[in-house]
Amino acid sequence: MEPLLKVNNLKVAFKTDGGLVKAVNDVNFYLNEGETLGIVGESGSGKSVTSMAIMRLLPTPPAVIDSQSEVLFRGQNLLKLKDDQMRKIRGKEIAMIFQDPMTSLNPVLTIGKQITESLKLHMKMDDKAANRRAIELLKLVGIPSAEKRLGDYPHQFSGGMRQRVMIAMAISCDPKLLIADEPTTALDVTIQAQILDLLKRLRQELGTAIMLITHDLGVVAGMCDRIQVMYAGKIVETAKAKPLYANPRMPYTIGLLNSIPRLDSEGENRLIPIQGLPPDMVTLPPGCPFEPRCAYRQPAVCQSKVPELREVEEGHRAACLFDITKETPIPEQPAPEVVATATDVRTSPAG
Amino acid sequence: MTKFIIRRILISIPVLIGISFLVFMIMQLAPGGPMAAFGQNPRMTAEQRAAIAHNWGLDKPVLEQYVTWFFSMFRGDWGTSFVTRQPVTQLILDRLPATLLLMLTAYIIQQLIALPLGILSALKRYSLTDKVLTVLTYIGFSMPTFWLGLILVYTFAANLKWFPSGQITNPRDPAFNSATYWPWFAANPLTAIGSLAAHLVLPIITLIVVNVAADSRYMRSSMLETINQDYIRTARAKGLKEGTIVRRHALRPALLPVVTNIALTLPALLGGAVVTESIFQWPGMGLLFISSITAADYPVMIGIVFLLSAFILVFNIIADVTYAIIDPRIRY
Ligand SMILES: Nc1ncnc2c1ncn2[C@@H]1O[C@H](COP(=O)(O)OP(=O)(O)O)[C@@H](O)[C@H]1O
Ligand code: SF4
Ligand SMILES: [Mg+2]
Repeated sequence: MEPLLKVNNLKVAFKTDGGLVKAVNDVNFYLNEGETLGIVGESGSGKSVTSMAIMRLLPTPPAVIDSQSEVLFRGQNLLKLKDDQMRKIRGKEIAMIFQDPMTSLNPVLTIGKQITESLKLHMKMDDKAANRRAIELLKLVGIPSAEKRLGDYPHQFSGGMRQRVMIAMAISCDPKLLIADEPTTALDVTIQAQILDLLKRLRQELGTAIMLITHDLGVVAGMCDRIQVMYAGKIVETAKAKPLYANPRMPYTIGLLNSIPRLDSEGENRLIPIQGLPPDMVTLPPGCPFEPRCAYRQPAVCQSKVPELREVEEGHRAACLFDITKETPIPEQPAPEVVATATDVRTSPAG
Repeated sequence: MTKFIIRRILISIPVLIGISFLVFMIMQLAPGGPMAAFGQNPRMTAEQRAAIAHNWGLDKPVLEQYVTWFFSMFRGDWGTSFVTRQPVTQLILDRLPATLLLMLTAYIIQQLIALPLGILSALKRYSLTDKVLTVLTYIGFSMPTFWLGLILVYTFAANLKWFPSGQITNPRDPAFNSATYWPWFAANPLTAIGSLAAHLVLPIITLIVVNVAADSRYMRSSMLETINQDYIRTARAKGLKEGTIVRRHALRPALLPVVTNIALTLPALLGGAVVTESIFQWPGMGLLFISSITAADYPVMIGIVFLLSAFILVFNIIADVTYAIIDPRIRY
C-alpha cells in the first residue's frame, strides 16, 4: 500500500548574511495512514523546517528547497502544486499544531471565530453549522462549558486549554495527517501528559496519522509506532519505537537515551548529558556530523566518511560507520584539545 | 465600555486643571508678564499702568489671580484681546473653521496615504516597491516643512500657476467665514468648493509630507512585526488566502500600536499649522497665534495654548478608547 506521506531527498537551506544555513540535508521518510511517527532531535536539528517544508509554509526566500526534493502526499507532489491547490490541502488534509499555544492563537479574535473559519473555508459550512461543530470540537478536546467559551478570547484560557483549542482547530476538518510540532514543550509536566493523552484518544477516535515532533525522547515513548532521530538536518536513526528504545544503534540516540530520566534506572545508571554542541549548519563537517561529540568516534575514519543511513536490523536503520550498541565499550578518547588541534591541522591550507 | 469612557474623562479633568495652571504660570513668568503689551508705550505713565493692573486684578496674589482666571475661563469668558479689544473666544471662533478645514482634510488624506503605503511596504518587503518607498520616506522625513512650503509656492504657484500661492479664497470673493461668505457659498457651492480645494492643495502637501513619511514607516514596522507572529503562521496553516490573512488576522493587531499615533497626530498637526499657515497666509489659528505673540497679546495666547492642550487631551481619550475597542485584552 502506498504510504500517506512520502518525503524524498528533502533538502532545505536558508540564505542568510552568515552564509547558506543547510537546515535539512537529504531527508527521506514515509508515514502510513493512521500511523504515528515520532521525530526526535535536539533544538536546531531541522525538525520544524522539515514540517514547514511539507506544509510549504517556509518563506522563500530566505528558504531554498532543492528542486529534486519531493513531498508526496497520497502520491501527489506538494512541492509542485499551485498555491491555490496547496491551500486546499493546508488545514483540510494536513493540519498543524505548534509549540507555543500562547502565541499561536490570534489575540484579537474569539476562539469561536478562529475555529469556525476553517470549517467555513474547507467544509463550506454556514455560520450556524460551523458554530455547532465548533462546540462539538471543543467538547471533544475536553473544554468545559464549550457553548459559553466560543465568544472568549485566547487570553481568557490557560496554556493547556489554549493548546486544546489549537488541537480542536487542527482536527476540525478531519485531516488525514496531523503535524504536531513540539505540542507540549511550552507546557507544565502534568499538562503535557494530559495533552498527549488527548492526542492518543483522538488518534484512536479519528484514525488520523500523526507526525509528532519533539526534542524529548520521553514524550514520544508511549505514543509513537515508529521513531526517527534527526541530527544536523539528517535522519540518523529510524526504527519501530520498541527496538529503538531497547537497542539504539547510533551513538547520538544512545546519548539521548542516557540523558533522559528513566524510572527503571539503577543507582549507577545516572543521567549523562551529551557533551558539546551541534555543528554549525553553515559549514557542516565533511564526515559524520556527530563526530566532534561522539564517544565512540575514530577520528581518522569518522572525519572523512559520511555515514549513510543503513539497515542494521530488519526495519531498523542507523547512520553510523560502525556497529555500535549500548553494550559497545566506550573507547579511550584523546583529550578535547588534541581533537581541536587535529581538526585545525586538517582544515588548514598546509594540511 | 461607557463606564470606561466616563472614567477616562473624569481622570482627564485634574489633568486639564494642571495644564491650565502651567499655562497660566508660564505666561506670568514670561518677560514683561501680562503687562508686556503696555511696557513699550512711552506715553503711558506709571500711574496709568498701575491703574490698568489694578483694574485687571494684576496686583492681587498670583494664586488668587489664577483662581479668578480659571473660573472665568470655565464660564466661557476668555478675556478680551489687548490689540483688537474683541473677546478672545470670538477671535478664536472666527479663525477656527479655516484651521479645522485645513487640519481635518490634511489629517484624513494623510492617513489614507500613510497607512496603505506602510502596509503595502511591509507585505512586499524587500521588493522594488518597498525599496522605492523606503527611499521616498527618508527624503520626505528629512524635508523641512518651511523649506518645502516655499519650494511648492515657488514652483506650483509662482512659476506654473497651477495653484494659488496663499490665502483661502480668491481676492475678488468674500473673505472666508465673513458675514457675506456663507450666503455666497450657498449661492455658488461648486465655485466656492472648487476654490477652497485649489487653495488647500499646497498647504496640505506641506503639512503632510513629513507625517506621511513617519506614519507609513511606523505602520510598516508594525505590520512587519505582526506578519511574523506565530498566529499568522497558524492562519496560513489553515489554508487561508493571503488577503484574508492580512485583513482578518494581521490588520487589527498591526493597527494597535498605530492607533495612539494616529489619534495624536491631529493635535500635532494643529501645532504644525503655525508654520504652514504663515507660509500660505492661511487665515487660521496659527496666524492668530503668531500675531498674538508678536503683539504680546496674552489673553489670545493663553486662549490658544489652552485650547490646544484641551485638544490633545481629548485625542488622548479617543486614542485610549479606540485601543480598548480594538484590543480585547484591555480590561476596563
Ligand atoms: N528563517 C530562517 N532563517 C535562517 N535559518 C533558519 C530559519 N529557520 C530555521 N533556520 C535554521 O534551520 C535549522 C533548523 O531549525 P529548526 O527546524 O527550527 O530546528 P528544530 O529541530 O529545533 O525545529 C537551525 O539551524 C535554524 O537556525
Ligand atoms: S560514524 Fe563515527 S562519529 Fe559518527 S556516530 Fe558513528 S562512531 Fe560516532
Ligand atoms: Mg522546532
